[in-house]
Amino acid sequence: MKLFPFAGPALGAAGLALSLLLSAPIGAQSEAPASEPPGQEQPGATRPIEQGRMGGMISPIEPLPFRSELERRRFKALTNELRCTVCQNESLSESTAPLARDLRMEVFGMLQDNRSDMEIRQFMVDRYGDFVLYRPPLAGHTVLLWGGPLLLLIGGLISAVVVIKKRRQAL
Amino acid sequence: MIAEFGQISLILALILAILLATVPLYGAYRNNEALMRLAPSLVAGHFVFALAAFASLATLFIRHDFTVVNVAINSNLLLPWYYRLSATWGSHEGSLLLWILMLSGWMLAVAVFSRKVLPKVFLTRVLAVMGMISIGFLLFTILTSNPFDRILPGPPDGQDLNPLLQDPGMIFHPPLLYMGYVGFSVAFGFAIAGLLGGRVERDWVRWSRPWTLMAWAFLTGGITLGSWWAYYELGWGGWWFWDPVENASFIPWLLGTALIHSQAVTEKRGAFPAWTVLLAIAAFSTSLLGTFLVRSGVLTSVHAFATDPERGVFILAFMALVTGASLTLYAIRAPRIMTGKGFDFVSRETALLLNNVFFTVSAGMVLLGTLYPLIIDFMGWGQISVGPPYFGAMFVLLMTPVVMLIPLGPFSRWGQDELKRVVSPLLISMVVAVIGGLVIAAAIGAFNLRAITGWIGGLWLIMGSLSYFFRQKQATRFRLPRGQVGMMLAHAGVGVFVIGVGMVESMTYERDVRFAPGDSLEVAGYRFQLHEVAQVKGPNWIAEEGRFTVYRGEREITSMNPQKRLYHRGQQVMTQVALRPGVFHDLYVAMGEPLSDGTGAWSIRVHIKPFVRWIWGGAFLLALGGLIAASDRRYWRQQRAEASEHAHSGGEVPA
Amino acid sequence: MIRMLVPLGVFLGLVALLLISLPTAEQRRQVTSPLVGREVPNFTLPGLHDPDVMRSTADLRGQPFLLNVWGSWCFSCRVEHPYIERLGREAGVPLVGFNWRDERGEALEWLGRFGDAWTFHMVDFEGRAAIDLGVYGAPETFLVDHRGIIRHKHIGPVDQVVFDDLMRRILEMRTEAGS
Repeated sequence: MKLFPFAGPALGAAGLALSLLLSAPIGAQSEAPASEPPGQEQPGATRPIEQGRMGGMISPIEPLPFRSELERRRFKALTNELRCTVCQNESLSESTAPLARDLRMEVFGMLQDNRSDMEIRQFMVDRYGDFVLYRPPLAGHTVLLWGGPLLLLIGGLISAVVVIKKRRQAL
Repeated sequence: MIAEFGQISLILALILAILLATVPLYGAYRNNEALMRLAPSLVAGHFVFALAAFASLATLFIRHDFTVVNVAINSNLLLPWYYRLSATWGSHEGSLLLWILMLSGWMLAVAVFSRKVLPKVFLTRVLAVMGMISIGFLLFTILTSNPFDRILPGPPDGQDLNPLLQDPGMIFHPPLLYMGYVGFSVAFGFAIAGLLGGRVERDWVRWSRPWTLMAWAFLTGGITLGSWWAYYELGWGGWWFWDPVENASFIPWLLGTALIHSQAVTEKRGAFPAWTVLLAIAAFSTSLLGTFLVRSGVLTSVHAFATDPERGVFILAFMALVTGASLTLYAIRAPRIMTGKGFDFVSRETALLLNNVFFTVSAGMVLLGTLYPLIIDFMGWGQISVGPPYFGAMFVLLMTPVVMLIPLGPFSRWGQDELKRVVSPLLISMVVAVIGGLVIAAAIGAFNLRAITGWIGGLWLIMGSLSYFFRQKQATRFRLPRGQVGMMLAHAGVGVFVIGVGMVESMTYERDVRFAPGDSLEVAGYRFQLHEVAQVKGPNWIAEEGRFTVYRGEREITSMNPQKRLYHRGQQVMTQVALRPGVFHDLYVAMGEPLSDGTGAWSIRVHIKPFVRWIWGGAFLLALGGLIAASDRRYWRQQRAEASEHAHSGGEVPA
Repeated sequence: MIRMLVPLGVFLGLVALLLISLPTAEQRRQVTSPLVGREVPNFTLPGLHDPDVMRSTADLRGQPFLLNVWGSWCFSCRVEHPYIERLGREAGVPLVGFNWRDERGEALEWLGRFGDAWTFHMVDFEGRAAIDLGVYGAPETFLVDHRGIIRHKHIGPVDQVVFDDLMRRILEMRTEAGS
């Protein structure tokens, strides 16, 4: 029972605090949650349960007529690496936004036109910028991104060797 | 009344935290026994009031008190009681309350369980430092995010808890995750208390180890649960997305992993003390950073809370204060801490040092990738996205050497060893892993690099753990210390995880198919047949439900009923997938949309996910290993036990 | 001693970056279009009132114009409508409506209710041309100069501040074209 020998003083302090508090207003009333200011909107956002969609969302589950297994894989890989511009942080392959669906169809159409992966990515970049690429291109401004971890690793390994050499003398 | 009671409890907890952070600390400084003895009772009171505040909010949710803004926004009359309970921590405000409750719980646990082991001055400092952290979070809650704010008159019914969070996984995911985040505050408290004392002593590093291990195990569990939830709840079958919010939990995990290994070296050999202290500061600071990233809205994420830059400023200021002060203290005090025994190139110290290099660099990589879009924006170079292709590739590159080196660690001796002696007992494991990996991959038709390397790497880790186990069993005559059992389980868990990842990432079958009632799909020996799409009703939703039967050959093995739900409030649509979990593969069916060709057909996604359970199974072994290691008796005995310790770890340190 | 200050330095740099990035978080949610500074994509689309007449951005070559993306489903378009009307009256440049992912009947009814301030409309019910224009929501407003170069893109509804900004830009373009 020696655990909390000073529980008494602690509760006393609490009581003192309580009396102090009761003389002050507590839990001030807050405003009702304001509605969002109008911003940009997505088509379909205000027409729920229309055209087979519910709540303005379009499921990314779509049976598409691929011509080959390779084409299916390329579609999957491309839509995984392209970012949906209107979403919080989702790829085209998982987004329910109507625009993402348009873009998936665009990718599918370009695959049918026998365009290369590079051309398809460039198509998106031309219209929406580097932002759509989840794999940032290696360029001047991304050198630190791609090279940074390597630099860190080299630095780490060198300091490890230095440390070991120093510690060896203490053996 | 309950809301006011909660409010008062919060303020009382704050007052006790302020007292805790000042009075006993002064007592420790003046060596005043009476003042120091205040600490445990203040901690107890702090916990009681934190609990009261939390219980108040939970009661308000259970009792549908819509005059409380938080309840009105996150709950409604139709919400079942268990989701009303979990809605308590479903919102930003409530989750802070949970955070505070966890922190006060950890503080109480330290006060109770470490009171016999720790010198009084040291224990007082640890509790006071944790009290300071609690002050920050209590102020944050009371000033910017009060969960007890009222709205009068209250609405007749509330809005809704985000349907994504109306799920059993989400009841447990946040508490586990916070147990981990907040748990690192114990290691942090120990490190700061050590710096305040001016010396790093092996003793207190040993006492902080079980706490760090527990926090790390909880964090592992929390992250695992989050991954599992995303897998079945989001409906696309992914298990990790490298989203900023996931990264925010992953960075402390990586640093925590480095920390539990460097603590081992510092405790046993007195080496890297300054580094261990720095890692303890970094692990907790990145937990705070994660809180900032999730709640400030500075990064765009799918999972973020309703964000608010003002709150962001508060957390940022708090983080700057806590971490800035700790790192300043570190800069002043660290040069004075001891440096311990020497070691050679081939030694266990080197192995653990390499572990630290790779895990710290990985944490740096994740941080760099997460924040790089901000750097680019700041420099005015436009907008870029850093996503899974970057993180995935980098992480695999950095972790490959780790997977190769893990089994060597336990076999190497402290101080000095020979490579030949370390490798020779592992030769059999190596051969078994390579041949076994190739044979298994060939047997299941996995002719690709990811699956093959996954199998070889995974078997190598599992075999390495097993051979260490058998050697230690002989050396210690079947009395392995729990620390070692935990380590072996965890390392084998990494192996299980690696196999799972290798298989899922290369051998997943995925098809989006058009299904009309009566249609069937044959794949991998299974036949999925859709009978009908029916309307079903839940407590607060309606759904279209696909009724599938799955056959293997002619035998019916299961029925699967995926749903597309429409929640009444807010009109959100949710995909509820149907899963048939299995050790070797999951069957996974998700509803898309009704197709507009008038046949009643739906677009349906069918997945067959090989070995996906191994990912979470491996992570579970990691967490279990951490908990078992934390329960090692060595950590819970007083200083006098120093002598018997050598007998205990006899097999490990033959020298 | 200096070495021991490295972690603190790194940390302070991190805090500075986060502090600077916090107020600009909202802006980062808008994706800047790579089309600004480039020629407006040349596409030909049917008109809204007159489906048989094909409308093209090339028709307006030689004079600056505003292109406004809207839809009858878009509430913010209703909010910005008074400012669009004022732009039509006061800017002295053609105002092209880009009716996106809409239905003809609803769009015409919407115009009947709120007033048609645009010079003419082109319709993109399929959303293909919108992709070429880099549209990712409605409303969006593009400012195109007399050489057909997109000079500015505004994302979200036009309000008084944006209205003033657009008027200023149009004036600047005029003086530039005149000299």
